[in-house]
Amino acid sequence: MSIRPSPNDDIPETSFEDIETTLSPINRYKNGYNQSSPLRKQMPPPSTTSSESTTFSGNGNRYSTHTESDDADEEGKNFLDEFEEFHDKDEYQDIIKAHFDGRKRSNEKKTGMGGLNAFAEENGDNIDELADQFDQNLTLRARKSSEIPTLKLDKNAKQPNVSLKKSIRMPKSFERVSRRGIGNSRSASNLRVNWERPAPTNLRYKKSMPLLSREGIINEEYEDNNYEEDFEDDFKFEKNMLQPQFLNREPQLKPISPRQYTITTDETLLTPQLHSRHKDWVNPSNLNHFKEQQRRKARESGSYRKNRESVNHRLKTIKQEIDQNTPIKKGKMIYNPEKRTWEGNEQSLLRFRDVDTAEKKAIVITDKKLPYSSGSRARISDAKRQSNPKIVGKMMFDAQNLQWLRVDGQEEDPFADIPDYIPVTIPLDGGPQRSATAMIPQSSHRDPTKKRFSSTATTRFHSLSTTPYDFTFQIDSRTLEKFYHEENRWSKKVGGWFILDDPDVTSTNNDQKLPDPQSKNFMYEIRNMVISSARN
Amino acid sequence: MSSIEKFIAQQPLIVHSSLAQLRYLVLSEGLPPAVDRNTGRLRCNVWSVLTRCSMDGATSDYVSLMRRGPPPHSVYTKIKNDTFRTLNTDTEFVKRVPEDSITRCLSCYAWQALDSEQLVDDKDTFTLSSYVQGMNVLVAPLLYICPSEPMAYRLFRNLCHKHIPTYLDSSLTGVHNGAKLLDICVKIIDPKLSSFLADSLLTAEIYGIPSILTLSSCTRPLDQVCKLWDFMFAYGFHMNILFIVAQLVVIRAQILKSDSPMNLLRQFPEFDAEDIIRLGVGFVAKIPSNVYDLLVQHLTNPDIVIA
Repeated sequence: MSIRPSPNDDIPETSFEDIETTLSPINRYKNGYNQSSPLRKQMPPPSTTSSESTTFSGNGNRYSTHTESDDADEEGKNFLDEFEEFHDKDEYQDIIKAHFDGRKRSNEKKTGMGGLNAFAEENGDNIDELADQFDQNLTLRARKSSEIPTLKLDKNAKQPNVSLKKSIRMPKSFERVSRRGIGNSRSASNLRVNWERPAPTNLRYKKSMPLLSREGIINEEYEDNNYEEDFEDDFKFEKNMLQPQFLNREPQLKPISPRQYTITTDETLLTPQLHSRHKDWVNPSNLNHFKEQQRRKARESGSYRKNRESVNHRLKTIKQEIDQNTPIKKGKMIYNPEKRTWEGNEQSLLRFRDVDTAEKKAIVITDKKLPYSSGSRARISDAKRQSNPKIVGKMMFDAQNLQWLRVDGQEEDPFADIPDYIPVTIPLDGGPQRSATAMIPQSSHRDPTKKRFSSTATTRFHSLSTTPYDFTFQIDSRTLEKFYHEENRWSKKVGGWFILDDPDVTSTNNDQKLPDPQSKNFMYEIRNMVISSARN
Repeated sequence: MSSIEKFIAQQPLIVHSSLAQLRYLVLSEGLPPAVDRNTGRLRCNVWSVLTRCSMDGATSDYVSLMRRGPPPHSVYTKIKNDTFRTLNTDTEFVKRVPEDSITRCLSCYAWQALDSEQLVDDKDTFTLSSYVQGMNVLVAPLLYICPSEPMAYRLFRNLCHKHIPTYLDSSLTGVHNGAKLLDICVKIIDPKLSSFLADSLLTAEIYGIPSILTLSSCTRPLDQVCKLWDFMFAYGFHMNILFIVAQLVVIRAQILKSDSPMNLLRQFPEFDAEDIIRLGVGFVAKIPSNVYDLLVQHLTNPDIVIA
């Protein structure tokens, strides 16, 4: 499998346990690389990811052996646990093993955890050195922009093992992906690194990577041989980098609190809304909106005009500052920006809610009843029932019907015999009708025919002045209802005789069944009958 | 339920023949006397069917005309001058038909006539007067039997426009022709009576105009008038001339005996419609066809010349 000669042939290619013990800082380099390319999380190239994962699989104890910065790191355990899912990917075991063997044939006599610990302790210093070197190389060459060590490796590495090749390919994929979402990933890595280890080297390394990827031009002519030598060193960088970046999921970002990281100072991390508002707030001139400068000015100048201006200005300012997050309070009332309502007066509103129900009267109408009651007795009793009837002498005022009544109720209604003409005067027009029916509810304003009636209303009736007491041409709604009723009865009874009498039909069917309206034939029928009977 | 009531309740298969059947039923069986609202309703239905007068939209039409109020003053004055006198001696009619109904109905007719006057101003077709004296009596039986004013108005309009238009033009052409025809008919049917009346200088122009113009509705009792009208709606209002002859013949003995026959003829005595119809139909056989043609035509043709 491996291109590189594997000196450790005696090690069987069996279990993950074995492979784990062969873990080396070189492997971690790959992971560190991944860490610097957090896009791997979004779009991991299958080959590298799987190889890396197998590298770390089941390696919960591994970091405890490396003492420097991330030992006893809980997060390390956590994300290693997440690698459990890669346990079964055996297809990469050969590659991994070969890689490990290639890199650490000198160290690999160990078969268990004890061996690993020993190895880690031995190579602790080495790792640091390698990491530093790598960092230097990386940053330097990144500036040159063409001398990307990993890219060059891809062609030149006849010697390197499979794992190297995989790691070399990684930047390509990284480059591909980085163009889409580098902003996010950078900020994410930024956060993560800052929180875990605010080590300057990490930051530097992190910053260099986007440069690499962005420039991303694979220029093979720049390959030089000395890179290969450097490459060995470059790959040995700080093991902190070994944390695979694709493990940096969102939940890991959440624990960051403003105490640890002030988001608002990092513009790249701000949401657009936060960003703009933050800018607004940071800008000291905007803060002046909250000051009452104008009033102070007005007070200083003492001019009325300026005072007015200041009021306007303040009003405008207040209006501007109300957004959905601004708490507004006025007396007992609190503005709810989500519902866009004022809250705090629910008790008062309940009273108005009752008004909507049909049974209750409007609040303003406290003691009015339907303004009609028939009969003098009834009116008097109604008037008496009122809380405070107005009585002058023997007369009592009926507030409902707006009339004076005798208290003893013995008064004869002098108008009793006179028909109530008010509804009679109504019916010919919608306007007066409405007002009259309001006055006299007993008139049949439920008359369905009135709609038809008023719909055909013309205004001519008003232009022609009838004598005010001539009610000849005003019929009441009941009569009108009767008219329509009789017409409907007629239609029901003998309407069938006129179905074919439609003007269109008669015009075409005159010669067929229907009698000619102008025909005088029927006027001769009796004569024909008489003559024929006389002959017989 | 009378057979006529059943008959008109069914939708006719062939209107023409069904109308002939209905006419014969009216002739043979007759409609019940217009004593109450239901019989009035039936009579109204039969009349409207016989004269092919649809009541569809009658109320809205009537109301829209009525909303215009009284017609122009000249017309309205004439109307109001007559309405209160309309059959005022007939207590049943006065009870059933208020004066306002007559006024409204005639006013609506006047409005409608004024409207159509404007429409056909330049044409040869003669226009009906907005109101002529006697219209109030002419409309009386209709208001009497019809269950609603709009239907009465609709029937009245139909009667005026379709059956007796010449009677109602400004010069009452048809009425005068009818008077001439009445003289002719009397002469044919009862030469003795005719000569007696001629000797008394009593022509139909003198005694017959009201009965001609009002289609005998000026004669009491109104119930009998309605029966007369049943027949005339069925077989034609030209029969009115013969019915007037029949009324004369009924009272001919009194007329011939009377020293002042005009007193008898100024107001015809109460009559029995069945007798009058029987007599009138019997006269038909005696009427020459040319005269009968004139009888038929004088109602609608104002240009006929009667020698």
